[in-house]
Amino acid sequence: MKRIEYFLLLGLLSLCITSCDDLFEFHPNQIRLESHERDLTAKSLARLQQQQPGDTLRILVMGDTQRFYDEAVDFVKHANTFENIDFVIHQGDISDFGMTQEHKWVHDIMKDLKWPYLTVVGNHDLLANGSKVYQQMYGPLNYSFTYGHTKFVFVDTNSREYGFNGKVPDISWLTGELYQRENENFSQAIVVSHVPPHDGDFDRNLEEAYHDVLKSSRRVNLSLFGHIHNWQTSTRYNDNIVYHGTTTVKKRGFTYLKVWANGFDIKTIDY
Amino acid sequence: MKPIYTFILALVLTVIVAPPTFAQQEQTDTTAVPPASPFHLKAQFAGGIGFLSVGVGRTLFDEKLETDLFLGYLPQSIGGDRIVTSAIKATYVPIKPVQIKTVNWQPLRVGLQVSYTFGSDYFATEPSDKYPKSYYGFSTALHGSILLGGQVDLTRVDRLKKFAAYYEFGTSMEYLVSYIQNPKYLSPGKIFNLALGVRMRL
Repeated sequence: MKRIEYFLLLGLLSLCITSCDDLFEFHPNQIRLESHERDLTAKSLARLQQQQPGDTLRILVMGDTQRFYDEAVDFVKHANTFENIDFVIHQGDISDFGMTQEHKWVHDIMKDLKWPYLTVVGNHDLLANGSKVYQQMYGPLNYSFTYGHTKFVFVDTNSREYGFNGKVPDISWLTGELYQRENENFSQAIVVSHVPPHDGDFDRNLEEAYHDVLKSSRRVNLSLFGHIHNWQTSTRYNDNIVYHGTTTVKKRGFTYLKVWANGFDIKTIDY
Repeated sequence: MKPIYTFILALVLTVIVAPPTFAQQEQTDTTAVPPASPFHLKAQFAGGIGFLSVGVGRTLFDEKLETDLFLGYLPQSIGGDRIVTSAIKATYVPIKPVQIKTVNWQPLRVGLQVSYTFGSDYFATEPSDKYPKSYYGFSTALHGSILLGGQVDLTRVDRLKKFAAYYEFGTSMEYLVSYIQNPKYLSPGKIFNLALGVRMRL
């Protein structure tokens, strides 16, 4: 081999080394996060506290990014053309294989949104050591916050991942969240989950209890979900609670949701 | 899940311990210099199978092919989670090494690796009592990777003749599929990672 050829190869080698984002990866399931990639739920909620909620809340709902990064980039571009949005909800299945790197890529894309974004954990996010990844990167699997007149309750409903152990979703936690405590002031609540109660991946023994909690609270008119990779809006339990499913970014759609004191409006957007 | 893995392991061990037929032929014409052993040990940093991994392997077909069996460890303090991994690797050396002063440089090595992550968090095949058939369609314990790299043999360095240092860029099939489907956001720089290692001939 000529001298010039191996200098070329050496040049190529240095190019490879310098172009690698994370030069070394110890394991696809390693949980190595930069400080800006930790506690994202708490950070988004802190940003929300700085905002002044109006009488009408404007929320963009998307989800199931899995390994559809290019479509997620396009979502962010399209979402940023909207105005007066309060926050964005990611319906879960942030990752496909439950690997940290996937979450990092999705956050790298979502951080370009003009508004805070909040996530609910999806079944894919619980694969491998994904539960640990989610909790370190985002935060608790069940959480809630009140914004203006509405309380938002994010709940892990991925029963199949826990072998239908009867503990997921956590019905007693949910009941507590929908009950107005002394220091709380909300007139309604929206429950956000990945798997809807009428899905085969939701614990069949908890479907009725789950819906009953929502209904008996008398504060829930709307529950949002993802998972099915399709649009679906229904009042399937013969009462006024609307279950609204948002399609996946892969199908280039998201929901534009407006919420006011005694009602809401759902618009499906294609991009 | 376990029988599959045992089978793969058995296959590799068979290859490693098989008698090297070509080496015996060499013995007849070069009696003065004992033939280099086809066996080696390796220690590797990173490369998707732990912070540090150790390997044992052998060369085949006039050093054109190398097979290794690795065991890697990632401590929680470094990896955020304690992970034990094993891997089998096959590396092909298509180009003859370049002689540079006291060392020989293998400018191109291409390889395939299958790794297995131990632990109850991971499944080799989807447990049938938990999921309907082909629910996910992938394994969380088994990962295939493609590797591209090179190696510097300290062939004519006194007392270090047995040693070599290698570098290896690798990406898993999951990352590769993601890149193919997302050519705008992902790039080779995002999906390839570097491994460094040393090899000692036995």
